[in-house]
Amino acid sequence: MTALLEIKERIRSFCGRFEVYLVPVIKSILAFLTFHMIRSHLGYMTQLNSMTLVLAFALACALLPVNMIVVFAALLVLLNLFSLSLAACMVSFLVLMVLFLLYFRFSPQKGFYAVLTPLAFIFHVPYVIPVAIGLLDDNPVSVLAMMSGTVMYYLLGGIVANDSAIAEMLEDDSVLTKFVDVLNQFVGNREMMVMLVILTLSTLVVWFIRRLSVDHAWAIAISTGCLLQFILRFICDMQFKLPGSTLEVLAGVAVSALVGFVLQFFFFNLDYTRTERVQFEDDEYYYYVKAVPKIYVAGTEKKVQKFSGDDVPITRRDLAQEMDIDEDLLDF
Amino acid sequence: MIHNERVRHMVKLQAFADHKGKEYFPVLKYFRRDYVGLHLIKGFVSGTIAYGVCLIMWGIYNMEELMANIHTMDLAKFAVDVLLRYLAFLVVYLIGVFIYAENKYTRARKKLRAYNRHLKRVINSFELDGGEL
Repeated sequence: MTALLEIKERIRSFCGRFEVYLVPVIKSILAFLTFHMIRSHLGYMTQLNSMTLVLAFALACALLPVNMIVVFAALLVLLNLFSLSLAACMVSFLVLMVLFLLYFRFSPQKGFYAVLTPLAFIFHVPYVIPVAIGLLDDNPVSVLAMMSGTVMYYLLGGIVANDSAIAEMLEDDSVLTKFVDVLNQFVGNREMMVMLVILTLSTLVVWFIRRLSVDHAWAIAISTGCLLQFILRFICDMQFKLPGSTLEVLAGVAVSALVGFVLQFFFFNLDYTRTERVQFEDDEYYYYVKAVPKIYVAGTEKKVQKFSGDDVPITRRDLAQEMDIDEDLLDF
Repeated sequence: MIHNERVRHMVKLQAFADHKGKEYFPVLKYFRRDYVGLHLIKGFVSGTIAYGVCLIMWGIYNMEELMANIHTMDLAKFAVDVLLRYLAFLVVYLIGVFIYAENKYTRARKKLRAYNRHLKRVINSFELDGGEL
């Protein structure tokens, strides 16, 4: 355990020292993953389908605010869908517009959750996002960004799954008919509704429990959130016959629990055995304070003692300066 | 000589300004009522546009049914129905906006109070040294 704590401290100090470089690197990695996924899943526009362009966008995002990843991703998605079908592009644009209008009012700084959520879905670990948001975010309003990401994932997933049908334009098909076809991929999507409810509910539960003043609040929050996700998904699977196996859900929930405990180790590692309860008062209030110390291991500082080395000859001037006397006085 | 305590407070001030300043400094330019009111107006506009977009999408999705029944349906009842749904949506949405704006203002005041505490200590330490800011 001590070794782990030392590693943690080293990582923390490393992140602290190189934050200026690390933040742009992380931003560009996130941007690259997002744009690469868009390219590989929705690469309908050949002009946008080059790795160089994806890299250029990702590098640009390193220097721009994090929300620009969302803007670039939305642009890439719309352009690719325009290449596939005008109706798909229109529907996506309108859905994006509604999400933007309703959500950006509340948590404009948390736009990256809207990008992270579809990525988590693609990697089959969507259950990680509620646990991470619930544990790390001060404000439960961020759940809206996660919901936006979920809606976009299912909308685009529906379009990709039926792209050949959507792209095919029969003679008697109008744009409106195609519009309805695209909306049909989205409206009444039970899996999307189920996931929206599960993810939102578990985020709020994790957020609520981890703020409680009980011992091991974070551990309880992670366990409850993961259990809730699994039970809800299991019940909904039975009820609505959703795609995906129980084993996959179980693996996803297990990964989310693991991520949760790693986050707890880094951000909320407390020693409950040394909890102190103090009471004091001032003119207006009486305070009941519970203080739980953080588990902290100071990194061992290596001190190098030099026993032999090059002798640096001391000059007359240095000696005079050190003794605070006139240099001439040393002439004897 | 470096004044360690003062540097500590100045670092905290700068860290706050860098990370949270953008979010919280503009909030306190307003009185609480003005801030919440501004959010409600913005919420009203964006909520109305969002409802309009959803209505258009619903209209296109149900175009065939609408066209088939347009001669037989009670248009006044339909309009009232749309309006009532709009009002219900707007009330729920604006309640959300109101709670959000109230909470944000309270949070900003709390954070800025802590910021001012550090600022006061920096000013005091300068004054104790006989310097001026």
